Amino acid sequence: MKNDLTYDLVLLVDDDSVINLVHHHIIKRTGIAKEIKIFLNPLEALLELRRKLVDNDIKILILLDINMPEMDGFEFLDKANTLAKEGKVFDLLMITSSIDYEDMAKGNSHPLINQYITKPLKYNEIINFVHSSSRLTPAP
Amino acid sequence: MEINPLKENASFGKIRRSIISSFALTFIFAILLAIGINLTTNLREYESSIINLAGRQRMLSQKIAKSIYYLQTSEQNQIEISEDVALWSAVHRGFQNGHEALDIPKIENRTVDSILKAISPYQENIELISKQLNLANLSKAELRELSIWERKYLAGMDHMVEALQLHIDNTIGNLTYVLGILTFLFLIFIWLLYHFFIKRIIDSVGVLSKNMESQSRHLASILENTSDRIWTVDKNYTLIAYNSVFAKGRLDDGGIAPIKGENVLEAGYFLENKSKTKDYYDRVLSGTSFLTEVEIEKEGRKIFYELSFNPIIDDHGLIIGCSVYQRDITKRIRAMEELKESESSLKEAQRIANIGNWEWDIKNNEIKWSDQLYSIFGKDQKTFTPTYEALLELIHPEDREIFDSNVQYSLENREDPDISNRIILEDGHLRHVHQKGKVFFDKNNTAVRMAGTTQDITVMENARERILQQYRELQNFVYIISHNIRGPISTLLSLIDLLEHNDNRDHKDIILLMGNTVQKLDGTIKDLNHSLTLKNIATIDFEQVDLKGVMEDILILISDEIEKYHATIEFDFAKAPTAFGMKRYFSNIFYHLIMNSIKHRSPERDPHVVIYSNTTPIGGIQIVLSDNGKGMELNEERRKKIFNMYGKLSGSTHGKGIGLYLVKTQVETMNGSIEVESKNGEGSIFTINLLLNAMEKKLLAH
Repeated sequence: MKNDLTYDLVLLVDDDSVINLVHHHIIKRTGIAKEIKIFLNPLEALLELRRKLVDNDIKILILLDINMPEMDGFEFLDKANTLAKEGKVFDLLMITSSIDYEDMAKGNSHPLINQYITKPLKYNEIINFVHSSSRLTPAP
Repeated sequence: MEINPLKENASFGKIRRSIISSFALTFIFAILLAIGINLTTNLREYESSIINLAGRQRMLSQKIAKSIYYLQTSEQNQIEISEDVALWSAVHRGFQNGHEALDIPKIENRTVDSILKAISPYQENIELISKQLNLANLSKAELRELSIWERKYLAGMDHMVEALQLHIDNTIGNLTYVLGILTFLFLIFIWLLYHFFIKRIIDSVGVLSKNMESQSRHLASILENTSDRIWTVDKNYTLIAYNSVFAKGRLDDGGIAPIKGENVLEAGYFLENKSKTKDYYDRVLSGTSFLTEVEIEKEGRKIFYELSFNPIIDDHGLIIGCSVYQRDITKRIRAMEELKESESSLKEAQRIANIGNWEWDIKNNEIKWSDQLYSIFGKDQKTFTPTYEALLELIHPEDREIFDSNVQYSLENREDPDISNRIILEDGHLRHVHQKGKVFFDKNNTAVRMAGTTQDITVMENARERILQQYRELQNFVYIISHNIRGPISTLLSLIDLLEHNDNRDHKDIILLMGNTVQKLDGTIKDLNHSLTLKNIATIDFEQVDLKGVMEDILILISDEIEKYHATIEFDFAKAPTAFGMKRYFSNIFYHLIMNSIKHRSPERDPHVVIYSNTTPIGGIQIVLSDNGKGMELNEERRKKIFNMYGKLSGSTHGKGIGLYLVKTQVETMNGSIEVESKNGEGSIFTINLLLNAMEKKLLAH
């Protein structure tokens, strides 16, 4: 049954490589990911997402930073939304250092965001999320 | 009903004419009567004298006859007889033809004439006999004849007297008759006179006196129905008439009631002072009507009077006196003073509050502005006529339509307008105004008038804008704390967590990452520290900032970076050496822009930054900074983002960019704008436009 909790692919999108590194370690430790990919540029992450979503059965989790130079997290979501409309689903965690309530409200109300997590990301937060009902792609 | 023309239009002229006519008629009638009486009286006297003469003639005839008889018998004086006969004959002829010497008028009576004719032969015979020389010796026949003649003559005389007597009686009878008729006519005349003239005169006088009485009552009422003192004076300064207010006033003033006939100059009733009083009377008595205001101090109180002088002129155009009205206008003067005072306080209040009031006559499209409004709208009262269209012209084009529709809405929905809008002055300066009004409707529910106030809220608006800017800065600071400091800290926390749970990773790598993160945090704190340091450089007030001075300070501040990256910085502020704003803002702007250029330098060449200033055609200044950095392709989205809190020109360089965000905020605080142009691999150009002009400088400085 452990396999039910796993994702085929986890995308880490943050312009800070240290953050990405830390997140990589945490995800790896939870053991929910078959594959982990790191993206400093969200555009590249989008392209990867589009490529991977072609395969219907693939389960994807995205850890997304809000503040990035090329494209912020919400812009990323707008673009990803077009993919979601085509029936492609994925889980998404918005991870930010922002403690701004406006950002938080925006993040919490976004249909594509499963959860809004304030940095630093904790191991338990991932574990709790994986077992929670807020997953869009629960175990079959 | 009898219509008496005089009653309708009674006047003294008509009465006088009537009286003159009736007197003339009476006079004529009286003369006629007198003549009539005189005539009859004369006739009677005349006839009476003839009768007397006839009597004497008769006696003389007898005497002559007797004397002739006596002469026959006795010695008689024959001469005496002849004298008597001469007289007798003369009288007889006098009867016939008149004789002036004997005072005998000619008898104009046919009967008497015929009698005289009949007896004349007897008279002649007697006369002839008496002239005979032998008068004393007359024959018996002669004597007999004499006697017959004498008798006949005497009988003739008697007849004549009788005839005359009869004539007199007839005449007197006629006279009585005539007098009776005359008396009758006179009575009729008197009656007619009474009927046609006297009665009417009496009636007219009655009407006139009634009218006069009524008029004088009305006039008296006019004179009494006022609080003005009214009096008249003749040209000798004698008081002729006055109303009770005058009398009461005189009593109140001096305790002495006025007396008709007194000399107003000596009565001590002065209109301003003694000499002026005479001047006033003399002036009006010379024929000038005039009005004057005088001020009198009474029991320590100032009383104002209005004096009205008017000459009285008779029918011939001669001045016979003057009338004077004295009106107490103290209340009016006081009210006017108070009005003036309140007007000036209102003006002052409007000036202080920078608020003006207006009134719009919608029908005639006339707008009345208070003085302050002209100064708010920057218009000259003499040359500018406010109308609704002219007002719309003054309103900022972006606000014009909404202003107009708000006004129309108010008029249609009976809602009082409350509008804030911008206006543009002739010299191009912008002002914020707040307009509040009230609409007035006529009985047909048509909006006819709108009145209200307009307040210049530019200073408030600017202050509000500045507060907003400061709020944004504060927000910005919170963001910096939230992201740029909390970010690295959370990273550190994650790394610590990782260090605790990670066994299969080299701890050294993690510690290295921790070091990097700490350095980044340090950089952010240094940035903030710089900002704070720069903040202390200048005062908060807007001023003329010497750009070169600011630049030199910055170069010292960033000398380490310049040296480290071999940067060259070139600047030229000759064309516009100063800019109006806050010194610390310019310090920040230059600092962050140059640091941005160094941060995003091209890996292929040493950074080179060129900064220069220039004036713009619209009176502002422009500051341009260009670098030879790596640049980037820009689209609308990115152009905006560069100045966002987290905007960065490159994803490959770490560190959140707060600098450009601050630059933009501060440029905008100084009413300016900043734009960026960039080309990948060639560099970027930042252009700052400061639109500050003299008027805004003043307002902001205020």
